[in-house]
Amino acid sequence: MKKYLKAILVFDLAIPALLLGIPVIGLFIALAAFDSFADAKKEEFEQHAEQAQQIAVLRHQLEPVRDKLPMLKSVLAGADIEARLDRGISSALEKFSPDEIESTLRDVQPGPFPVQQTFGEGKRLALRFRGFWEPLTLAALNLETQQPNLFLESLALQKSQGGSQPNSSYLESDLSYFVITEN
Amino acid sequence: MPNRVLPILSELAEAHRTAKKYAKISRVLSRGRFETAENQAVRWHLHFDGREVSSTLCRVEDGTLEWSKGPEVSAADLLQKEILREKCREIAGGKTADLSKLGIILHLADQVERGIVFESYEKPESHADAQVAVRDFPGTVIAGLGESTERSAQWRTYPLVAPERTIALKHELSLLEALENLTEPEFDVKVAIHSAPIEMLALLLLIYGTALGDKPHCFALYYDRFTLLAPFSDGVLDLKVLPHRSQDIPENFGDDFFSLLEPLGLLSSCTLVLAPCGSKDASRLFEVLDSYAHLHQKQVDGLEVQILNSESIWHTTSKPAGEPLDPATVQRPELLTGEYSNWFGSEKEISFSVGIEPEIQRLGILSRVSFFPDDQATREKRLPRSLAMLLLSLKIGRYLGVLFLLGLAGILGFHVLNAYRGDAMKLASDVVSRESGSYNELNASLQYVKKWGKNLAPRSNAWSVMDFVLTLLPESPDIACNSIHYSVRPADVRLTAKSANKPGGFAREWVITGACSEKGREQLARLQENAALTAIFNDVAQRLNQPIFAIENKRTVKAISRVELNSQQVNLVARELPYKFSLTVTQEIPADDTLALPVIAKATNP
Repeated sequence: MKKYLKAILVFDLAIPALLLGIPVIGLFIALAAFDSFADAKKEEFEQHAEQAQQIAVLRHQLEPVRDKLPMLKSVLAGADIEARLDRGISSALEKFSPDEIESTLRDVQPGPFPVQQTFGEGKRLALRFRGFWEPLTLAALNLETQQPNLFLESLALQKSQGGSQPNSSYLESDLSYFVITEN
Repeated sequence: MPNRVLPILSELAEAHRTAKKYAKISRVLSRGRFETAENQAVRWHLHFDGREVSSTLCRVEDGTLEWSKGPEVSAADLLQKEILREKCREIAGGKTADLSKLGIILHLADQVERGIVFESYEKPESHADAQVAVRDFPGTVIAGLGESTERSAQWRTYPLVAPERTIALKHELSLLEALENLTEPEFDVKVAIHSAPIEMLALLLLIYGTALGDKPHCFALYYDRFTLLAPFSDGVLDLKVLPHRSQDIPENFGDDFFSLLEPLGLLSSCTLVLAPCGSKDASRLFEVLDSYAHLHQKQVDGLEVQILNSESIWHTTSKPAGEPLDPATVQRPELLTGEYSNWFGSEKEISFSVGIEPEIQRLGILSRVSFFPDDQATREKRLPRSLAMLLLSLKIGRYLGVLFLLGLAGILGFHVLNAYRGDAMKLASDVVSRESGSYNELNASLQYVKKWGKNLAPRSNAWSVMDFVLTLLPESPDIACNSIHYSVRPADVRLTAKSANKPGGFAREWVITGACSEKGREQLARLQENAALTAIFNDVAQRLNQPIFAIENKRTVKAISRVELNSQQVNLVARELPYKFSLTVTQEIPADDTLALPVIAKATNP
């Protein structure tokens, strides 16, 4: 009886338990691992779908400024700032004849924004024009549209000839800008 | 180590193979398959006296016994296991029939021998120990055997309560090999071997019953190859086997008979029952005994002789059976002791009480003792039902385990298929990575745009500052401007140094100087009214789409004009505009305003 009991315990319990137990444990581990992997992929897919939607929203939001973004970055870049300012001033004045407006001073100096330290270090641009009111206004509009990073610190307008109205006379103007940059 | 392990494993494997043969499901589920031969549904009774074989079948049908003639078997056939198997299949119903419901009971009336029991087992009360010991180590119970344990010679002990002694009988089992073959797992026939003379003695005691109490009896069971003498007075007093030794009767029957009865004092009053158990007439014993008594002048006046014939035995036994027993079918009365065991009472354990009734019960039980080997090796060879059920349960468990394994594999496969059916698994990681990069880039661009859109919101532009002046002082002959000075300054100078990392409020100031008429003077005075000035600012804000001019929330504006008479009226214009003025307009943007000066952190390019 003991012999049979031992034989049964070995061949019907221990060995089958081993032969079945190992694959069962293996399958359990594989199932758990695959489920975890599948869950991760599903989560990744959901994130992907969500992100795709977010990308569409972002593209939609950026659409109006997409073309202006390179220009904005270019304007805000600290490198080669003087040349860019020169080009901007020249571009603003090119529509007018020297009789209407002419630039008499362009000076760029490094320095902090005197009004608010939060702007940090930057460049300060000093301009002097001689011209009539309307060309002066339009040139300023043109320049400040092209260079939105120009913050007007001060403006001084002085008549150079007689006249009762500011826009009817030839004017001497001094403009001082703080040039905002990224660095 | 492997030299020891491999043989052990080999032995276990062999034992396991055998166990599996015994543990068939149909066998395990049938309780009868684990019962003895006597309890099987079909019992094949074989009576063998050394020369002749009688074959009888007894089936249990609806609780009653049905007797029929068994297959014809010769003495030589009993030694042939193949023939025995064929006969068994014939009984069971065909070549493919299940033999496990068949029990073979061999009633042996051949080669019986009496042995002397050691004193340690001689007391009848030691019977329980004796019957266990005699199966495994007969040499420890029977005198003169030594350590011999030959399986083909089986001893059993018989407690004689009246004389308070135990005797032993031996049967030679020349048919053992063939019978044992039938008990192999593939056939699973149950076999029992009963001692025919003991069965016959039990039957005779039952038949005589109360008559045994009137006076002592002596039963002489006259078989063809031996005669058994059993004197009885308040119980069986002795059992004496007298072999015939190729003669018709025992060689010294008279001597043996008188030497048995004289010491017991039974000759003065005794009934001698001569029972014909073989093929010869029992009157032959009487003739021998009679001539011996005359020759040796034995006093036999008290001896009453009864010679039984078989008809009287059958007639007597038919009464308790409740139906007439056909001697031609049943053939041997010894068969009845096992089949009608209830005749001997319901007790299953031997009692050691003295008396006729206890003796009949005792002989009834002892007559059913099997001489089939029952040593430890034989017992271990049989698979108990509990282990068979365990083996079967584990087998079922194994199948369930395999099913579970397959189910688990199926679930895994289903999960894999289900997962790959969706889009999630098809999504390449480089797409995700690319998309993530794209998202980060776009998000950074948006943040960049938002940040710089806020930072670069128009706060102070020359063109709007100049346009504001025209709105403030529209073209008119009553006011002439000489100079305009615009500047930006901190709203609170004290805070400027401390709050480098907080948005800052600021003030915009226009200082306009010039000359004016009386009417212009009035116009300048109206500008000092806050409502009028606010309206001008708001108008500019709306017209130029420049929110910095809008006077809302906590933004404030104020205008201060100073007008005085111009003492130097040198020309015509001066005469028409006799006053000189200075107008100061201030707009304050507080630090908590949306257009307050922002903190421009050191940004990184997207």
